[in-house]
Parts: sequence; structure tokens; C-alpha cells
Amino acid sequence: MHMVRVDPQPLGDQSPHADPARYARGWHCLGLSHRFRDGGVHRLAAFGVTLQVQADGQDQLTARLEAGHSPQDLSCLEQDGLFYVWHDPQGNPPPQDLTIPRLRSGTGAEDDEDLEWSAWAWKETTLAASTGQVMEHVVHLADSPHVTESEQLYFKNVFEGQLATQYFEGPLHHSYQLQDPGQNAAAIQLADSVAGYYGPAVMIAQLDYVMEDRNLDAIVLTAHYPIDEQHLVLMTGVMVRTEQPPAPELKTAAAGHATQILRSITGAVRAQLDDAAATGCRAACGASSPVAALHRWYSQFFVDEQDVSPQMTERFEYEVDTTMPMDLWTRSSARNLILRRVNGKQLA
Amino acid sequence: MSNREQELDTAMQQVRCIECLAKVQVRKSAWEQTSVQWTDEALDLCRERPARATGNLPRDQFVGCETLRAAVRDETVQGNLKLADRAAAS
Repeated sequence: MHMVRVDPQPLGDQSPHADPARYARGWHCLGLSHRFRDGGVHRLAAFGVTLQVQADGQDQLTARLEAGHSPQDLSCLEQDGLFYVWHDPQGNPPPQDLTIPRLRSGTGAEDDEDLEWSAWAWKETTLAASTGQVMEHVVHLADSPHVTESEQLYFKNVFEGQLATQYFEGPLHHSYQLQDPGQNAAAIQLADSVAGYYGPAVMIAQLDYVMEDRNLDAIVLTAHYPIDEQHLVLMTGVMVRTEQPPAPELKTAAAGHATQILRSITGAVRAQLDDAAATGCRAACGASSPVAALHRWYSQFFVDEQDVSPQMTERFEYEVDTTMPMDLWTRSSARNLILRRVNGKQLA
Repeated sequence: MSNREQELDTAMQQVRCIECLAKVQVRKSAWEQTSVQWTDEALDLCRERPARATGNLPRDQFVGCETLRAAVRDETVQGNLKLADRAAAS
């Protein structure tokens, strides 16, 4: 594993594929929208081809895939200071039942018009990995050491339709803690988060952090788009609910956290790749494991819409709850066993 | 993983909700772990699931049915719902 340089470097020799690559159907975030508004034409390597972004005469951003002789205009969405494109190999418009939620309460698209939330602390990196490998971090908390330790923890994955939601309540996962806290940064003691994948490539997390001296409300957006089959751009943005007047250390905390989350995800992806390389294959897992459920759900974005099956979209829940003490379970089941024995004697 | 273990690993058991007619497939690997496979039919029957979400943010989504959760807990305590890992071990 190695990090590759961000554009415009070519990504090296790639063997020609017999089958053209298929990229996911869904909304993909291309990052902060103001970057595309400098009057020029922006060319990005995306979806195995070149993606051209520019502002039109009405100052609306437009996106076009330059695929051979038939360029394809993409549906776009600009909101909350971010620019999204709808990618569908079948060329259909975005569905009504999958919309990216508005995150800012203000009407302005720009960060500085929002009094409730801070500006985005935004980080991007290019990673030599396939998009499916990035997805898996959403279920990995289920295997975290927390689950086997005696810590109070509530964790749940829900897959339904085109949404995948992750609930987490407990001590913040160690990989998300600030590694290098600034002098004003307080340690995050507890986290309550609900994160949702809106389709295959955009995850929005609503976080409530309990710190020593205050609570911190944050929204974290994690998104990726494929450059080609082996490379992708991974991005993380954090905004925090600001106090009046805004506290400068909140901004520092947000920026530090964005860096940390990006580091954590790239670290997780690397560990996965190393693991897969070491064992030669993924460990077998049953149909009821969260990884298998994630794969079933994720596969819907890589088939034609008419081929999406109920197995891919029907609601599946995976829950880990250690907040109900084990001894309560044990006591109630022990009592039940005794009752049964007593009843059995009475019956005999 | 042997075929037998695979079988146990994937075996889900049916649980009926005590408030509505929903039937779901449930697997518990341990006291604290629960997997639930719904069908669209069961989801339509669920009384706790709002017909229409109030918003589109992650916290607006339906976390799960508390009544069904209680039903699963009861079934487990009664011994009707076997813990999958225990079943595999015994």
C-alpha cells in the first residue's frame, strides 16, 4: 500500500481490462463547490474517464463525463457549500426517493452565511484502493475491542433500501480520538453518533460528543469518488455547532477531527488490504454477519436498476448492546430455568 | 468453517411481534448481539415504524421496533431463541 499523488500525475501503468469497469450508481461528492467557481474549466480523473466541471452562464455548476465519442451530462446538486454529481451507468436521472439531506439551516449555499454551524474543515486524500474497501469501515466498529471489553456500548447497523445507517453510543473509538490534541482541546469522553450512507458514496454523520467541560455537536461528511478501479479520492468534512460568539477552539477541534477521521479511515482501509494480502482471501462469514449484509446492500449499486433484488434492499439490522448488564440477562434466564424445573416437578 | 458450522452460523429463527402480525427472522450470537432480517411485508405491518419520516437526516431514520426488541428478549430468556454461538459450541 502506498499513497499516490493527487492529480494531475498519471496514475501509472494499468493493464487493459477485458470488461469495461462498472462504477456505482449514486450521488458522489466532488468536494467544496467554490473551488469550481473560479471561472475556469476543471478536469478531474473520475469514473475511469475525465470529468469536466464548470459554471454556466447562469453561474450554475455543470458536470460532463467525457467518455469517448459520447459525452454524458450529469445531474448536479450544489448544497451546503458542496458539489455533488449523479452517476448512473444506465444514464437515468436521480430517483426521488434518495436525496442528500440539507445540513445547514441557513438558505445560503456558502459557509459564511450560516450562523448555526461553522465552516467546513475539509480534508482530501487520494488512495490506492477500490471503493468497496472504503465502505467496510462502516461495519468495522462491530468488531472493535469495545465489544469484547466490558464497556457500555450500543452499536447498530441498519441496511434498508438505498440507506445504510450506523448507530454508535459509547466511548469514542480509539482510532477517532485526537492523536495530537492542541493545548485547548478537551478529550472526548463519550460519543453518540448516527451516520448514514446515502447510496454508495456519501456518508453523513450526526455526532454528539461529550467532553470534559461541554458537549460538542458536529456533522461529519465522508465521501469518495472513484478515479479508476484501483484509485479513489477520499474526503472528510467536519462542521461544528458554533456558540455565540463562536469559540475559536471549536474550529480547531473540528479541523483536528477531520484530519483524524481521514487518517482513521485510510488506516482501516490499509489494514484491510494488508490483511487480505496476508491471508490471500477474506475470512468466510455467515449471511447474518454485518460484512455480508453490507456486501448484499452495496451490490445493488452495481447492477441495473431492474436487477435490484429484495435481498439487496430488505431491512436488515445488526445490533450489539452491552448496556443491558449481562448479570441481568443471566439472572432472568436462571430464574426462568429454576421456574421451569419447579414447574416440571410439579407436573411430574 | 465446516458445513455444519456454516449451517449454524446462518440459521435464523422466526420471531413474531407481540403487538402486530409482523414475523421476522432473528439470530443471536450472544446475549448482547442480535441480527434481524425483515421483509417488506413485516415492515408494512410494524406499528412503531412511522408511515412517513419527518426528515431525511440520519437521526430521522427508524432505529427499530422496541416492541419487537422486547419480544426477542423474552424469547431468548424463555430459551426459545437459541444463541447461535452456544449452539455451535455444544
